[in-house]
Amino acid sequence: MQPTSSMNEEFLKKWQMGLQIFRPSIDNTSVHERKKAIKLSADVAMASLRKGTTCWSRALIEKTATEDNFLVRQMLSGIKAETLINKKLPKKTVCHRKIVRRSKKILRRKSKSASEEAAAKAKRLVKRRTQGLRNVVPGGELMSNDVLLLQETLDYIVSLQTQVNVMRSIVDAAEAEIER
Amino acid sequence: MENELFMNAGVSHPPVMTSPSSSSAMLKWVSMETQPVDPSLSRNLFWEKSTEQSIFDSALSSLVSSPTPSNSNFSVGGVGGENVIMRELIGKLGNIGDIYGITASNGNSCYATPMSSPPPGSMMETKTTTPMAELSGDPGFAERAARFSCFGSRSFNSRTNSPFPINNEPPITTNEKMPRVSSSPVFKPLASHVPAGESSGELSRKRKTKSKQNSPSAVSSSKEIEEKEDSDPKRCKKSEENGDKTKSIDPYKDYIHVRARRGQATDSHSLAERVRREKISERMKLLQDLVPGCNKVTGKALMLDEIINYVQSLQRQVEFLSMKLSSVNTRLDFNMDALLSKDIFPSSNNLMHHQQVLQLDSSAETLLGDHHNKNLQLNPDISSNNVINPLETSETRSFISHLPTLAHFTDSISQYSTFSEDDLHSIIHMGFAQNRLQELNQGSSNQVPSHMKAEL
Repeated sequence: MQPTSSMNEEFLKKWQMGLQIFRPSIDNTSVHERKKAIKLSADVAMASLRKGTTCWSRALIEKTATEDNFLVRQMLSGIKAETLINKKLPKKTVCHRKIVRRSKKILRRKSKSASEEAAAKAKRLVKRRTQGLRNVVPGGELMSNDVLLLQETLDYIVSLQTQVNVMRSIVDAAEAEIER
Repeated sequence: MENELFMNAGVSHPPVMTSPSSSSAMLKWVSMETQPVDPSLSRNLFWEKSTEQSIFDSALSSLVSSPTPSNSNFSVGGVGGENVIMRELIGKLGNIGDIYGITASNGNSCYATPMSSPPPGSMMETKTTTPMAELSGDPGFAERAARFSCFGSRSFNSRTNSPFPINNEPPITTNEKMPRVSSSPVFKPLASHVPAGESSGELSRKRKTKSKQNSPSAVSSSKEIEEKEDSDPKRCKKSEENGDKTKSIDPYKDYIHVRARRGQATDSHSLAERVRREKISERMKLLQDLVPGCNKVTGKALMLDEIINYVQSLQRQVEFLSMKLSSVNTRLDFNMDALLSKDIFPSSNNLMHHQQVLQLDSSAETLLGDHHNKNLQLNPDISSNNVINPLETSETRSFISHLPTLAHFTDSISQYSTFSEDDLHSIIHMGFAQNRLQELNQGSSNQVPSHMKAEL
């Protein structure tokens, strides 16, 4: 899977629409505010590429909607914004910490052989990395399934690459224009 | 008639069960034969006739009766004579059709025996030999069991005429056994009919059979009740069998069809876990292809590390680029002007080349826009071009991923060096050619992700 030119164009159109919405309200504001607006519109544009079919896009839309609901509704007007925003994300599983601690103590009491200990260490490393990946991908904490997490990560990376490519080309064009 | 045949077929199983009971009956007959034998010839003749009828009746009764009542009959040793009478009655009533066959066969046997029968001297010899064989023990019992099985086969084949020589031997041997069992009822008619003769005896026997058929209706009713009781559990068993079949089919559909290797566990939980691991490994391979620098890494933990680092770096790039874009432009108006400037060039191209406009796609328009921007930017000063080049090279080094637009820009730079500033037309033509090539590349690139998506 690689980002395609059609994805780049679609992202550019969405982003342009977002910037037009921001234009009248943020003309003479600070650099930080402008940066925030650009980032926000870019994120919504990226999420709209998948049209709410993936967990990460829905999580990202929900996050940006809390910051600027007007922008999200305007940008997603063609994709049934209300259904997207109201659509439920997978529920997070909550465990009691006391029970978890007890089970860990019970496991630790058992003596293990060298090979078993090595395998346990490897599992622990993988578990921590997986948790790290959940933190990085938007909506990752809500995915209880490893297969789903990896699939979402694949799609998210492709979309991120699209975003980076388009933004870089715009920045290069802008810099060239200024030097001229 | 067919129903009767089916009934007989249904009853075929009990004779196997009755074989031990028949062996016990043989034991009783052996005990009976220990009594002394009367030497009178006239009595022997009458006994032969009576024993022939009793043979068929006993065979039929053994076939028709269910295993449990036969056991009860044999268990009561003291009432042996009455049990014999009951069996005869049950046999006659149970198979009405067979009775006619029996009478016909009796007639045949009556005519056959005096013709083929040997002189009385030979009869005496047979009497002397058979008790010796019986007293010997097990082999005698085996032979008798075989004979009973012969009777069973005859009863099934009663409609067809059996050959006479086969009939001769078994009745002779059984003649000696049966008279002891039926001695008490036979004595009375024999004493009364001795002076009358053979013909009068036959007539009296026919009358007896008729009276026996009429009197015991209660026995038949009880027998019917037993048949009903037997039929009910059979139906229950059939229904149970049907249930088993339906149960066996359902789990087969629900199972995951994965062929397990030798030594692998095959319970549903293990199979599901194996499927999950296969899915995870597939996703990891795809991620390995997507993330640059991840091909050399082996091991799941390290691979996950690489993936996390890459995602974080991409996110940081987005932050950096958005900050850079906001700082470069004092206003968003400049950014919009840049975007709008892209839109202007395609329209100018439309004015200049009407025919080729039809062939253009949206991607071509954007690329042309970038192309013209670059050309205009490069026009004023050569020194400024030199300054831009190291920026591009540094950017390419800093970021691993390659951009199609950068490749496009480099091509345009090389073309600019070859052509003069004034030849805009020639540059435009070259731009179209490159766009077509890129379109082909895009087409090829589009096909690959569709396959990947299909696989997912």
